[in-house]
Amino acid sequence: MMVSTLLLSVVMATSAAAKDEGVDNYLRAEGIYAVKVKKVPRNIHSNTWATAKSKTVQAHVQQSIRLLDKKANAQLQRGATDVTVQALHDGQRIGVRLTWTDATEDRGDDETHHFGDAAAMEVPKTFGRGIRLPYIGMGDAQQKVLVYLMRAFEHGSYGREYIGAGFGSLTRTGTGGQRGDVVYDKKRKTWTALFIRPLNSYGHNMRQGAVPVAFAVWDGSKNERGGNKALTSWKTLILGGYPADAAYLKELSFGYGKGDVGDPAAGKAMVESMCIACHHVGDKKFVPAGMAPDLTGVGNYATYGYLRDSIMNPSQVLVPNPNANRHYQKGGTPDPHGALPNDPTYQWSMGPASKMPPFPLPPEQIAHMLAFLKPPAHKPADDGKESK
Amino acid sequence: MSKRQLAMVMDLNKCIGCQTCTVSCKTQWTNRDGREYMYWNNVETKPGKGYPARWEEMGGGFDDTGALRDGEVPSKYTDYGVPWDYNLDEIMKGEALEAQQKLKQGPNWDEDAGLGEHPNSYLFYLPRICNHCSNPGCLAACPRGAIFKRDQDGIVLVDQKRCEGLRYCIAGCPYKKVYFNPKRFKSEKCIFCFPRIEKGLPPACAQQCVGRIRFVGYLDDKESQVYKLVHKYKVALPLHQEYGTQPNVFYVPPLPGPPKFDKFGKPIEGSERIPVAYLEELFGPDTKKALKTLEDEMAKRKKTGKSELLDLLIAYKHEDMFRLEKPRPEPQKAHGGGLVQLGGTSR
Repeated sequence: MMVSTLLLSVVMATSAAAKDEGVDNYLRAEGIYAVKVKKVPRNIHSNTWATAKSKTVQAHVQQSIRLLDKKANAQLQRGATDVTVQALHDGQRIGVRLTWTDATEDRGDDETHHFGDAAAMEVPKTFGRGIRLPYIGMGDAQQKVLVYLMRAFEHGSYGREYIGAGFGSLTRTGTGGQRGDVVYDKKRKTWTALFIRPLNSYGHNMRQGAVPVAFAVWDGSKNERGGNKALTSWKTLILGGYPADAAYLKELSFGYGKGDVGDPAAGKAMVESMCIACHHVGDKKFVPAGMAPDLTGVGNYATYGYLRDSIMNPSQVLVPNPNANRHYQKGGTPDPHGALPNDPTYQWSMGPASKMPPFPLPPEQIAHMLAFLKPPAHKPADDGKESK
Repeated sequence: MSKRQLAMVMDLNKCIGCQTCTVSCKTQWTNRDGREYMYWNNVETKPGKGYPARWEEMGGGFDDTGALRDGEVPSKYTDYGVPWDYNLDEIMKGEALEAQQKLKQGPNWDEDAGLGEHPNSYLFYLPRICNHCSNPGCLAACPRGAIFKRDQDGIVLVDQKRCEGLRYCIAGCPYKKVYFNPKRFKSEKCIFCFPRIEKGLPPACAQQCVGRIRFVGYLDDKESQVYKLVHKYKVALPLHQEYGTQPNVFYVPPLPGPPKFDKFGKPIEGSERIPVAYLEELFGPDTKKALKTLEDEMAKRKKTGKSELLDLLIAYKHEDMFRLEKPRPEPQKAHGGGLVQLGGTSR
């Protein structure tokens, strides 16, 4: 528990706020501590990495939106990937190193159905007190994300920087000064990926005590690429030496305080009586696939705050529409060339409004639903249920 | 989806399987830069596994509810096949001709194999290009919106600037007519020779067709050959319309052929050499009607010497097979300002 002790001391040292149990729980579960060092090593194997703290996070297979690769879809039920995250900064640059196990080294090659292994890190374009987190899947129209990708290929690795505003929007940018690498250890059967960027990259300033960050890894042998990937929920980087805004941490830590999360059994009953009218949830599939995001395992990569907001006010946390052409109206009127119109049933939003109506439920009921949708993994004995 | 739609009709009764279309397409577009294995135009023998092998079993397209179906991405080595070399130097010294690589698959792997026992065996040729569908499976499958259909002619193109080589389009196309270029890490496909179209010329495959099987024109142009064959006489049918993508390449199905022979070598009156049931699998429930129209018009021609349909199909002059010069709207700006598919093509 050395890491969490460190985290606590950082929080206490950097904010004048009184000790907050929810924030403590949150940082213990989702905080990643970036130690300040003299110089962030560019070498992925540098000994300096031994001085970094390690945090293991879980990356889960993305299931909210279904793509159409038969072989990739056969892998949707595979379990979580443990990703060990280390972070260092030197006041100028930040380096984040990921290590995860992968039985096969896939680099892609000149074969048309081979895909390379890869990892990515995303950070919100804007963040801080009062600014909600972007949608975990490459952001949304209101809250954009910066995505840093490191991909293995036949002759090494390459990096890419993107800006994202939701499904299908990822666009390459090339100005952020990203460096990095991704290296396979044949003996240990692990990949290690390194992302380095300036703390202040063209006005995107990470010189903050608390910076949201999320990760994704791709396993090429399982036909993963694009949306077929394993991703984590939003975590928070705690940068040593910079003050963390206590109010921001309080916002981020929703779900980890007393009473935030209720009774999963009650939540299950609610989800399975309401949400399933449009969503798939596990084996509860009463509507055609794709009418709304699949909620199976949504808590693996959604935050409590996102789940709460998307129940209470869906239009405020709009999930972008995936390709509208993926389902056409079979009985619709074809155009003169036989093209059938897209079926609006499968569009998730109409302009700025979500198709889902708001459910302004009382906090206790929301708490139950959250407990079911995102079962607390690192729950200390004294929160949630006991408070009732 | 588009304002106008170009279409191609291929008369399978005239295709001799010479692959001149394949060669004209290859030399024009796919003999370089990672495209060496690709055949945007191929001619396969039916019945047969085709190109890529088993493409009809690889999914994609839309199901009965209008939802995109899951599909597969074929393998370059075992499904498409890659070009190979022969020991051409050695044979000059008297050695036997041998391939330099172990051969697994090729674009015409089962050419001329067909089905059935001599003397009742049968086969026909099926040339295939991108169908430039009205509801393209590739366009619907792309998670990045990188595939678009041109408003002015319905040609389906991959925006090379948006494409990130994810290859969902390949899984989504039930005809497997989108190809991955591993060298450029982009998906590429038949572009209906749009630079030629824009000059009023037919695609290279149609221009070079020795058997004069290919008609090209706009479906809304009632004077066009394609309109007459598809809509007026209804003898040109889409391939595998059950895939739900509304293809815009149409085929005049092959007539069932000469009758089969009995064990004494006598023709069996009324027998079908090519089973019509098999043709229906490919060209759908209207196949019989189309074949009947063809036979009726042939009989009419024999009797009266006249048939507009047969004149059309015979195509006395090659230029009578294309109607591209008019009416054409103003050319449009490129989609989203991005590079269209020719981006990155050297030469």
